[in-house]
This record gives sequence, C-alpha cells and structure tokens, in this order.
Amino acid sequence: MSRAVEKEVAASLKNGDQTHVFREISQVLTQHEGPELLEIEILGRSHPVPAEQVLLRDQNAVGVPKLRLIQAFVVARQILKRHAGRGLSTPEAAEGVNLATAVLLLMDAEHLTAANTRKRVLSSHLAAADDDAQGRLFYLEREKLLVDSLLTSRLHRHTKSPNLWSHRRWLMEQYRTSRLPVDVDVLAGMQVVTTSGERHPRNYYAWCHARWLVKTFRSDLDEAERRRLLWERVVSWCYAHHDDVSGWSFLDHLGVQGLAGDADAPLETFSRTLDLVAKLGRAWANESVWWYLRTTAARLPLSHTDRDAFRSVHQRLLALALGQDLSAGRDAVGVLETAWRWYEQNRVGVVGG
Amino acid sequence: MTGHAEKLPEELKLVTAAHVKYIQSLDTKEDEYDYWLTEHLRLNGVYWGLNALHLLGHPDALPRDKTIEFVLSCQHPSGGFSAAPGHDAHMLPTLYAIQILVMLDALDVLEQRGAGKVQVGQFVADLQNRATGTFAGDEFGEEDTRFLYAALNALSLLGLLSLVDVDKAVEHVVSCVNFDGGYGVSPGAESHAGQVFTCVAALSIAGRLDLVDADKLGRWLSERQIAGGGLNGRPEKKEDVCYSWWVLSSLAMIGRTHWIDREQLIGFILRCQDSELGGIADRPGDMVDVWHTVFGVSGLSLLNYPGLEPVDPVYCMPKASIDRVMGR
Repeated sequence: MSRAVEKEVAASLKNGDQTHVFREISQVLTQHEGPELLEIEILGRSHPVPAEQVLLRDQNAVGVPKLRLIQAFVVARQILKRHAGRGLSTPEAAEGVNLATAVLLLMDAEHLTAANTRKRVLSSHLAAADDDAQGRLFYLEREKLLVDSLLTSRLHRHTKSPNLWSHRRWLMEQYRTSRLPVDVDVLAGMQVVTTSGERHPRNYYAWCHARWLVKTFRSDLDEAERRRLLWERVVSWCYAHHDDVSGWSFLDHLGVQGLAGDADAPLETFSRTLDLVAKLGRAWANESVWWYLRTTAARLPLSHTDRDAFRSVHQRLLALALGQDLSAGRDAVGVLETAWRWYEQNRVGVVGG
Repeated sequence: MTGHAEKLPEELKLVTAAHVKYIQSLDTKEDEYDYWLTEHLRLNGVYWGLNALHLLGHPDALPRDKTIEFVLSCQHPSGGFSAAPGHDAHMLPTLYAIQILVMLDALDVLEQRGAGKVQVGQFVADLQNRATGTFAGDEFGEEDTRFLYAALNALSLLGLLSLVDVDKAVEHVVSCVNFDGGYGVSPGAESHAGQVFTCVAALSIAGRLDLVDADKLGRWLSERQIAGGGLNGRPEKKEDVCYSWWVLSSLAMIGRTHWIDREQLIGFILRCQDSELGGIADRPGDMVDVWHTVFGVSGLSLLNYPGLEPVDPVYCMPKASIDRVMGR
C-alpha cells in the first residue's frame, strides 16, 4: 500500500467527525484477547464496504478500508502530538496513546515514534506491576498479540519492517527480564518468523530475529531433541520455499552455530538435498539452492566420496541446462557454472574417505 | 562511457528537469494528508531529495533557509535529531541532518543556533556499545551495521571521530563478514548488499579497507547483476534501482566496478524513470519515490553519466561537499 493519498480520498477526508472511526479501529487492534492472532488486511477500492461501516470483521479476521484507516490516522496523530512531552502520567493518557500508536503502526510500520511510545507505555505498566507477575505477563502478551498480528499479516510492508521486528526483539527481551513464571519458547517464536517469511519472501529482518532468538534463548535448545525439531522444521521450510535464500542462510547459520540436530546433521542434510536436486532437476538449479550447496560443500569439508557425488549431480544438471533452449537454460547454466567456480575457489579442503 | 550515453535513444536519457520538478513537488503544505502520512520520514526525504538535486546540478532548487529552519526544528536537547519535530531522536535522522547541513555549507548553524557540534557528536557517540564496538539506533538498543556506518559518517563530517572507539567499531565490522564474502547486519547474519555498503563504507572512513577480501566480496557483488542489467541485493531477488547504489558504490570502494556490466546498468536505471512526471522507481513501470530517485541518480553519477555532479561513494553525497568539509 503506497503512502500517497488520492485526491478523492483527501476530499472525503475533510468531511465529518472521525473520532468514532478511530475508536473502532483502535479498539479492534488493542482489545483482541487471542490466543489466535488477528488477521488484518487493508482494503483498497476493489473491496467496497457499506458507507456506514467502519470495518469488516469475521472473528479474528479484520478488513480495514484504506480511507477509514487514514481517517483514524488523522485522529491518532493528533492524540500522540498532544501527549508528546507531557508524559503518560494518567491511565487515560496511557490508554489514549495505546490506541493511537496501534493505529499509527497499522498505517505505517516504520513509524518509529509510535513503536517507541508503545515501549514507554509498556515499561511503565511493567514497573507498576513490579510485584504482580501475572499482571506483567498480561501486558506483555497483549503487546505480542498486536506485534505478531502485524508481522504475520498479508501487509507487505509490515511483515518485513525493521521497526516492527526491532520492537519484537525489545519485547522478547522484556519477557526474558520480567521474572515470569513461563520460559520463552523459541520454537513458538520461530513459528512467527516462518509465517512472516512465507508472507514476505526473503524476509531479511524476520530471519535476523530468528538468529537473535536462538542466540538469546539458547538454553531452550539445550536438549538435542529440541534442536532436532528446530532443524527439521527449518529444513522442511527450505524445501517448501527452495527459492528463498533467507531460509537456506538460516539453516547454514544453525549448522555453524552448532545448533544442528546432531553433529552430522549438516552433512546429512547436504546429501539429502543433493539427492533431491538430482531428482527434481532444473527446477532446483536455482541460485538459492546452489548458494546453500556450494557454501555447505566448501565449508564442511567433504570427503572424496561426497565430493564426487556433488560433482556428479552438478555435471548432470549442467548438461541438462546446456542441452535446453538457450533462453530457458541460460539462467541455470549461469548459476551452475558460477556455483562450481566459487566452490573450487573457496573449499577448505577434501578429507580422506 | 559518455560516448555510449550520447547514443541512447531520446526516450532513454536522464530527464533532469522533470526530476527536479518532482523533488520540488514533494515539499507539500503542512495541512495536506500526504505530508502527515510521511511525517515520520520527513528529514530522510529532505536528505534524499537534496542530495539528488545536488547531483543533478540544481543545488538551489529547495529553499536554503527554509531547509535549515526545518533541520534545526528537528533537533532535541540531547543533540540528536528526529525525522520531524516532536518525533523521537534517532541515529539515522541525526546523520541526515548533518549531511543536509554539509551540503548547504551550513554546519555552523549547529554552533550558532543549535545544540552545538560536540553535543550532536556526543549523542552519536553515546550510542556505541563499548564492549562490542557496534552502535544502537537509539536508547532502545537495536544494533545494526547501518547505525555503525551512520555514526562514523556523521562523526567524520563533524570532525569528531575521536569521540568513539573506531578500532573497536572496525573489529565489529570485520566480525560481520560471512563465508560467502558478503556482510550482514550483525555477526552471522545473512549477506545483504545494503549491509555490505554500510560495512565497506565504515571501513573506508576508518581507513581500513585493507581488511576487506576485495576479490571475494567483488565476486558476491558481481553476482547481483541479473538479465536486463539491473542489480539485486541478494540471490534470486528482483532487481531494484536502490541496489544500483549499494552494490555499485561497494564495488567502487574496492575498485571493481568493471566486474559488472556498467552500460547495461545505466540502461536499466534510465528505464526506471518516469520520463514525463519525473522521479525514479524501483524497476521499470512502477511508481516513483524520492528514495529510488536519489539512489538511481547517485548510481548514474558513479557510472559517470554525463551532466551529473560526481558523487562520493562512501558518503553518498556530492564529492564537492565532502572535499570542502574535509578541507581537501
């Protein structure tokens, strides 16, 4: 959704009181109890909504017409402006800002001040609930519902937003330091990452968050079974999204960090993937898969047997690509030739066997 | 290079006048919705627009005094700047404020009417994590090599690099290099052309480009060019004009711009223009915006496209401005 406002939208915005629009949208965003996330969409002109209705709602699915969101935004902006610098000393002020900043973030995920203000409001709630663990958990869970709903939505800008992922990181840090009766579940966090990653391919900041999660809450992955589960989930995700280099890169990262299921999981997965490539042929002669293969093969290092298997699959695939019509095969040829050249230049050595 | 550009068909030339008009049109009135909706990016937009105008040879196309007033209105008592008055101060708009003032040759207003250069420098310096050398964006602690680059960029323009531990920052950048030759947002992160730019430019400012494996990085960067001549930021992504800057300037800093097809890239950037209304989009046919406009123009400048002011690949600012502030 672009940041531009069409002339007719601007014209209709000048009419009428927009407070009720703001109230309805902001309440939907902030009063949802979960545990399922909201599924939020912003509706364009191709989704007509009855004139008197502010939004469409079907249980946890919410559709907000863009015009209505802009109306709410205008109100939200004024509220934030009013409270800026005056502090959040009263519960009314805190709640007003809570509603306003939720709308601002829905309007634009990169609204830094809105996200920071939410941090300040939340921090003051946490401080006030210093002797009430359940109270602290309530506020954290409510914030997580909003953030995760935005991060897993079908809103293209929100899913990749560095501002929102940064907010989530800060939020999870509060979970870690708030003396809660529950531990952070890394696999649950990974679920948010992979859903978001699916909505927005090659989602850089989502997968950065994944790295931060496994590093910060590493103790949750102490048991080999937990690591195996994580590893297999990521492998499955990569196989289902084989043109997504971010997934492969995270898999590589887990291996390097010693977070693979077992010590031989990286090599085993490499071989398994190579078999898949051999079976699937040209469809898997894409850059992301071969980034993973050439990087893993070069770093592992490979035994003579594994290297021969690697070369054999490569050569067969290259021959297949070369044999095809020039335009169809050209990309694959380029990817394969570049990959092998890179592997030869960067492999750390071949071990006996 | 220039010979080739002159041979381009009429519809594939740089429509400078249209771009100037487009950038000027972004300076909308304060009671308009477009203005409010982009408020949180206002100072960013001023830097992008002003830089593009300078490179296009129209440095006076935005009102100088009004621009300075606006920059000063974004300053906080801490010395940091926000993207708009009343918004939170942050590393990035602080950098943009300094870059704008440098381009306008108005850094002195910081002393005369602002919080002073040292105060600004201190805001930036206080964001360094002294243990790891990297920088956060603000008090909430998000660390990203973008902020490290912004810090070194800003402080070097202010002549205040001594306020931070540059060696430690260099160490951190080096720890962000990946096995595939690229750099990421933090150690172990996925290689990304934008992060490559921030890391290499940071090393350049610190005088430590010797720490870059130029051949290995050059190879990773050269793989970013796809059919049609455009550049992407990571494997299998679509081409995007903004990578014409980040990939190209990185290659320029390590002396390997000839590792991509520069003429094809020029053609791609030009095809991303809106030749009637001005502005440049991420790829041909899409809607334009000032972000892609500045990076498209900066890319063309680096490619020595005729009629453009030379751009500094490290600072993404006119070379003339950098030379002046550095006393070269």
